[in-house]
Amino acid sequence: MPKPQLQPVYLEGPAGRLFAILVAPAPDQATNLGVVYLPPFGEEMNRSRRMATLQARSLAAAGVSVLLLDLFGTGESDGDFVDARWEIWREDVAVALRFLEQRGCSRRLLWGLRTGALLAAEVAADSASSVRDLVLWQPLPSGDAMINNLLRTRVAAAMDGSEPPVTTAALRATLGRGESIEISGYEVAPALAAALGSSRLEDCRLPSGASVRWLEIAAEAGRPLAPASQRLTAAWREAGLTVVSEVVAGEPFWALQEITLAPSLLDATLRSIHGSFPERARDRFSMSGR
Amino acid sequence: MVPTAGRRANERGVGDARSSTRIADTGGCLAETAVTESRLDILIETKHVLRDSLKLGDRVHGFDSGTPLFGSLPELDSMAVVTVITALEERFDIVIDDEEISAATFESLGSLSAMIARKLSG
Repeated sequence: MPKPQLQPVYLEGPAGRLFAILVAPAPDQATNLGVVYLPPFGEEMNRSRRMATLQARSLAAAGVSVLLLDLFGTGESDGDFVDARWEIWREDVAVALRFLEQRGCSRRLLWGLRTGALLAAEVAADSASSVRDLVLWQPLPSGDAMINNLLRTRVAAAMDGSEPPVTTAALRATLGRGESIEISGYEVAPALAAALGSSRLEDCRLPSGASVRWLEIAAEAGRPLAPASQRLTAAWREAGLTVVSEVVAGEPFWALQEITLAPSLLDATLRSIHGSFPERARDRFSMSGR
Repeated sequence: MVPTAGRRANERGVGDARSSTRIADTGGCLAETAVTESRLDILIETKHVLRDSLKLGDRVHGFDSGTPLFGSLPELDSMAVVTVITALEERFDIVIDDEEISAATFESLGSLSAMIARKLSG
């Protein structure tokens, strides 16, 4: 079987040109399923790129078209990070979904890691997106959890004495004054921080019939979900959604300097896309006929 | 392998004076075992968090309270420090303040687990 090809794709986003990598199945292997990958925030995106690419390849080998998207202001897309906005990113996702639709992917799902999972849930909650299926890797319960994480990263950066110590309160005050802050070389605009900070998974009213595959890593497989994850998945089930969760063994690859893989996560995700939407199994693996 | 019987002398850390005081309050060898074993447990749990957060693998078996961390472990960059902090908060159900995100706290496994022990007993 030929290896899935990686093709550069350029899309017109609302704020500028977007770069994406299309990982496409061989034409005679293609199904009607397309997946847009939404990366995590800032430096986490770089540290998880290898995992995302490997996953995309394995999905493409199974007949799924995958678009690895660089959101506006990130990666190879137009714009500086300081110009990135949550609202622009939501539109970028819509553009990416339309691209896959135009390629013949009559079924589309969103796959997001960390803040990418938040973005995915928000877009799916918007009925205009026609997305009902989500694959969420290590979802954060809220964008504010990421903001805290970012601010603490800045505090930790001063540990070696290379800059004066700073507090998370002072950094929040700087954002509150309308000034951007720098975290690990990324300039975070107050408007982005505010929108991210107010994003919460519990506020995402996913459409009825939606299916969510929730995947977390832990030191060992089979550990329970984090408490916040348990609450969120329970609430979604209560709302009538199909939520399948799994904890797999692995390291927090999005945070590690050394490129780290979590093979269990790759396997679980491939399995989930093969098997976790059984009510549409026939539809999923029908030949696209294009 | 972590010794199960007794403790190596260098695994006594800051706070043993305090545990002696608590022994005086409660009396009895059983109480002493309970207090000092919990200090060891904290050290072991902290080691596990480091292993899992930083992908250290079997290297942690050789870690003791004197093992230097910040500045010695190349894995421990600012993003990894935050991962470790978050994991410690979840594992021990504590809140770590900005002031504790410092070279002093992360100087060694001993200083890090001592910080956690202070939070748990405070």
